[in-house]
Amino acid sequence: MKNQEELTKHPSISFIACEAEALNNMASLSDAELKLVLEKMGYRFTKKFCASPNYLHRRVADMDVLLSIGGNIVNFNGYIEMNRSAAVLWDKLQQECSAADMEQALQDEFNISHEKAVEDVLDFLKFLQENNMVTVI
Amino acid sequence: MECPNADHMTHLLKKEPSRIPINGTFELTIRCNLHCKMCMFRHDDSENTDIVHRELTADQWIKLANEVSRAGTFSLLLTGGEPMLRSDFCELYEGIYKQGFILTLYTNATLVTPRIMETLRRYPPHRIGITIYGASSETYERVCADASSFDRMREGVKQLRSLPSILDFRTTVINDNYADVDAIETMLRTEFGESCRLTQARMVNRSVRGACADVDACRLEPEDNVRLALRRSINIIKSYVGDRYDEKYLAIRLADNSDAEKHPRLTLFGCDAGMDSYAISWDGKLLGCQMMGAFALDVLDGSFTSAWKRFPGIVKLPPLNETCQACESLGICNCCWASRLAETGDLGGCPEYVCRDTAIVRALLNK
Ligand code: SF4
Ligand code: SF4
Ligand code: SF4
Repeated sequence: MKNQEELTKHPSISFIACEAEALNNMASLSDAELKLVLEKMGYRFTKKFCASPNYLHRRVADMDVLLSIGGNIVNFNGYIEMNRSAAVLWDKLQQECSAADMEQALQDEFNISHEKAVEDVLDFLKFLQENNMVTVI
Repeated sequence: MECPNADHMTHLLKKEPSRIPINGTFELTIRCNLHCKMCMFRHDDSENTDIVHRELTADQWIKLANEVSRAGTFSLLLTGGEPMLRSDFCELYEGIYKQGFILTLYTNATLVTPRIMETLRRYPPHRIGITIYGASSETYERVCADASSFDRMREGVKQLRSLPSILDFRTTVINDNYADVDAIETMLRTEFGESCRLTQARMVNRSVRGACADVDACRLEPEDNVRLALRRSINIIKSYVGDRYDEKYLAIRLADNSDAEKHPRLTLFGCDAGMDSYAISWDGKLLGCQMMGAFALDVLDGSFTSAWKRFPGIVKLPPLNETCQACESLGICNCCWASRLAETGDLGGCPEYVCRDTAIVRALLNK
């Protein structure tokens, strides 16, 4: 039997059956809608994310802020204000986690629908990636 | 029964306004390797042995940093004296940094060692305020009683410039370096980069809280003080408008303050001190600001949070003296409770030096 390392190295292709109609509609979908459709079709999103160590979460008065620290101040010398849901997601990202883990954290904390959580997490990750604030694993 | 004074009591507060200690100053030491003639804070060297014993230890500062961070401090200034003079500066700095602040470090840049640079490279402050006292060894000798510190400062600034921190250059002008101001600016630009700008303390106050400097013997006459401020302001305007500058279009006007007047706020001293800012002195006293030693609470005797809560209760200011109350220049005067105390030894005093300075500004405004 192959060991675990060989299995993960081995190239693999998975076929996902799509309904023709769903495929036709995909072009007009938003990122969040597309993700939900793919989820329904059984696609598994395996990417993991982790917060950049260049930012430190501080709670100041009633505010959540991310403070740029270390050598990162050469790129951005200041801080970013976050709302509560962004703060929950940032704290979740202190350990490697998937988009699904983050969506679940939002749903648990704020009692929102799965659809809304998917949309919020996608927006948040997009912002983080654009600003080099997250590592994609 | 209805209170007969009810009408007059509508202005009384129902509850204390919220006070959050957002901006902090840690005065890590009051000692300094330089001996500037006008230093507001340095004590006589004969007190140093006693001061070293009474200074908070690195562990105490780090514990305090943790406490003030939990109490809401976000922006923290580390200053002195000269902070880098402390033999435990690196441990102390690293421990404070790790609590997470927008950190500013003030230094005279003459004690920058490889070890300090290694620490600052790993944990660069967001800002570094560097004080420059002259453009030659001779001026450093006259102002700081140490000619060799001029070259050390230049070397130190070169090192600090390699950090990603924002550098601010500041100076204090007295008779002994009055002639050097332009030369300092030129030196900054040629040696450290075109974008370097120099800011200057508008007025040099008498020393405070037991400091030893004889400021009267060296500070500028108010006429020179205002002349210098005006000349430097004009230079800034010229740097923006270039050849289009024409003195006949120069007008001096009061900045529009109507917004602040429309939204009066509650304060302890007429400023942010004790409301959203504070200082902790080298020996662990909570002060409204570094200049105001009249009201102090020991932060080691309990906690920072309890001292911060109790602080308004110990601030007892006398009524403003009659001369200031009736003064038509009160709105443009640089005076505050701390400078009144520094200048006259009395919170309620009327500081003659400030009055003379303000009178010249008033005359310029009336022109
Ligand atoms: S003014 Fe600054 S550099 Fe000069 S003696 Fe005082 S603390 Fe030291
Ligand atoms: S210090 Fe002098 S100029 Fe200032 S308000 Fe008082 S009297 Fe007026
Ligand atoms: S120096 Fe005067 S104006 Fe400045 S913080 Fe202190 S009391 Fe307030």
